[in-house]
Amino acid sequence: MRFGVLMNTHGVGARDDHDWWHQPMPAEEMRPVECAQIAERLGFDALMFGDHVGFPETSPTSTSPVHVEGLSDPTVRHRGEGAGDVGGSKRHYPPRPNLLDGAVVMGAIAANTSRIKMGPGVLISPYRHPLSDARQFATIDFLSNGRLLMGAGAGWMREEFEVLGHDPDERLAMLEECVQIYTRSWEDPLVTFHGRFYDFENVAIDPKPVQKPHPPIVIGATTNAGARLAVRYADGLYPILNQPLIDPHHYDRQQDEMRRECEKIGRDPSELIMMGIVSERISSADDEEARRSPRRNFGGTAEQILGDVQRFADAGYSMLILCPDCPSRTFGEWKEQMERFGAEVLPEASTIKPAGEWRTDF
Amino acid sequence: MELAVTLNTHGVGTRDDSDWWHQPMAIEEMVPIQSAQLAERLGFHSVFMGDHVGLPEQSPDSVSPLHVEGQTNPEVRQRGTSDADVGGSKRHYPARPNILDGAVVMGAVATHTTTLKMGPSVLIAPYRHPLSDARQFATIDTLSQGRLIMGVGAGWMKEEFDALDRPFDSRLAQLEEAIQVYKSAWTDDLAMFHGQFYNFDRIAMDPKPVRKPHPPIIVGAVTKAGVRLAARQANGIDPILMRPHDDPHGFDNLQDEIRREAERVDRDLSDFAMICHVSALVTDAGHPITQQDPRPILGGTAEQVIADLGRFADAGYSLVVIAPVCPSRTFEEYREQLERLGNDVIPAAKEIKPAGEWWTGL
Repeated sequence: MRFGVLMNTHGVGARDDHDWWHQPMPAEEMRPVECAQIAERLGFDALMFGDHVGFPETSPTSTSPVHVEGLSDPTVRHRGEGAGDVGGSKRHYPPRPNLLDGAVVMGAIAANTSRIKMGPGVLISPYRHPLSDARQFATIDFLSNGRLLMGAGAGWMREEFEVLGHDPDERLAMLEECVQIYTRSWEDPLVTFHGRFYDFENVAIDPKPVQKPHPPIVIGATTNAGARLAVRYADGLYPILNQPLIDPHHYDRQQDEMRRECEKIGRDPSELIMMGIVSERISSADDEEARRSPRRNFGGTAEQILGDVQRFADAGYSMLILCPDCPSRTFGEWKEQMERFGAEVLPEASTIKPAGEWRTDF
Repeated sequence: MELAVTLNTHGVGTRDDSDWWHQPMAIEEMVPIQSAQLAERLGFHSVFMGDHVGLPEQSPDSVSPLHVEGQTNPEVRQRGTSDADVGGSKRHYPARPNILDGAVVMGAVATHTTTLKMGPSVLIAPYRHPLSDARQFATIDTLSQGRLIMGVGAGWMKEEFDALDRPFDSRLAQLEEAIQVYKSAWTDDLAMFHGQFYNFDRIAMDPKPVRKPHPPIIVGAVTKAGVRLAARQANGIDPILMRPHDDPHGFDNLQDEIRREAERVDRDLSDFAMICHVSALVTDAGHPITQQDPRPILGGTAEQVIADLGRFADAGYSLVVIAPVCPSRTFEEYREQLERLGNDVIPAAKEIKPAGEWWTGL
């Protein structure tokens, strides 16, 4: 099993028994270059970045993908209603969070690290023209000398689509076209695409990325339709498993759907990556985190967390992106969590082999 | 007077007696971080990067802003028609140039420099949603601790607008709205804009840029309509005076237009700067260009180049952005030109006082 971390360019997360949610963070606490260097030094393999363009103040008609019916508290399904609840309340995002742009920060991190992979996790593809994203992320692959791990998704915040002039009901169809445009931009001498949303001929996108045939693309999706799209046009699936009590096998049906789709189009499943994003908090044995029943995933001592790693490996995941639970919203707590995980969990966890036929060499 | 340099993220330029044009550059020769560090060490004020998303293979319907009817070679007004002419022919852009994304590169440059300012020159505002650009460039201002100079323009390559499905004929109106969106995003608690192209209410855009009230916005314009827009909305203009026999006073009429428009809309011009883009070749005394009559402007010995810079200062320009003439298309030649400028020209240029009432605090 390998590990990455969700960078705190959108703040840090917190959790309770039902939910994981974003907390705002002062911009001075974000320190993304330093965070990236710490993660690389500790032996983490990937840095993933959230993506939002401009948040409407509230989002009452949107349901966050972290929300799972039956597991989550319904009040966390959308964003805050007023500035008063920036501090403590459980909302998927507060009304005015500090957000740094992932692509720009990756440019900085590419030039300040040497080994660790990086990517949007996930880029909301319909928000920008896919040729613009193809160019930006090719530049990140160039600056990092082939370390881009491209996460792409369809998005969920209806109000943000409307602000940008896009139809939220078309988001999956747009994602499907975007992913094809990324791979063509990264492979074809001149790029041509004739779709419902994007239509152009013989466009030059050079230089091509360092990675051949193209940087791996994982689809952030939790539905069967998303799983099929990942098989047809991408290189793997990257579902959200942040709910503290979610069963590692919660998305087995999507994995089965991928196998069926592979059979249907004649694709070898061993070309496909299975990675997930999870919430996490390492503690000592006498901490409440370690003694809860039911115990939250990846919460507690190194031994307890290693047991969870085994359960997620058995469910087919070969890379887990951690969202450390940092209620204090400080760089210091994030760093402490990362250092403990790196020292106490990573060495042994890296020997755990994932089950399934999925691709592990990325 | 301060000097800036164009980074080689779009290749390097060269010129003959009538034209300046882009030349493709091998990707290994593009070392943008090293180039920026060199520029900072040599005393340049800032570095600027071009912007293109995806160049259509041909652009027969577009006229480069460098083309002046009757003065320049019509072949240079558009782009190359095949890979065969990538090498030597005079085209504004070759068919498949290597282009690195400026915003991503600025992320890297921001963390590898400490005093150097940076910006797009110019960002083609209509290509992307202005809230997306506002977020990306705010992140650059954050990473660089307030060193962004936001150069924006309306664009000129009709075929690229077509590829991105953006209306071409209304590009100036889109630019004017985009600038207002940037300013609202960078200064208002919740951004709001109701225009013909962009329309939204109460959008969170945090953190705000470090520089207050906002990073300076400079419009790349060579028309009266363009500079009137700048006088209404921005902090300066950056016309192109890159051709070998351009007259530094060639745009004096635009400066008058700015004063008239400022008076009309009651705009105080005390934060309005005059920048221009030029090409330059610094040589030893024995080089034939030093004896040429008429001598290409900013071509010749350091003394000759300094004298020419004096003419730009007389025309009101306080920041001159230099595209070094590099026919060999190598980093070596680019570096040599930067070193000659830094060592032999910049110290004297800093003593030159620009004429006019324009702002010099960029």
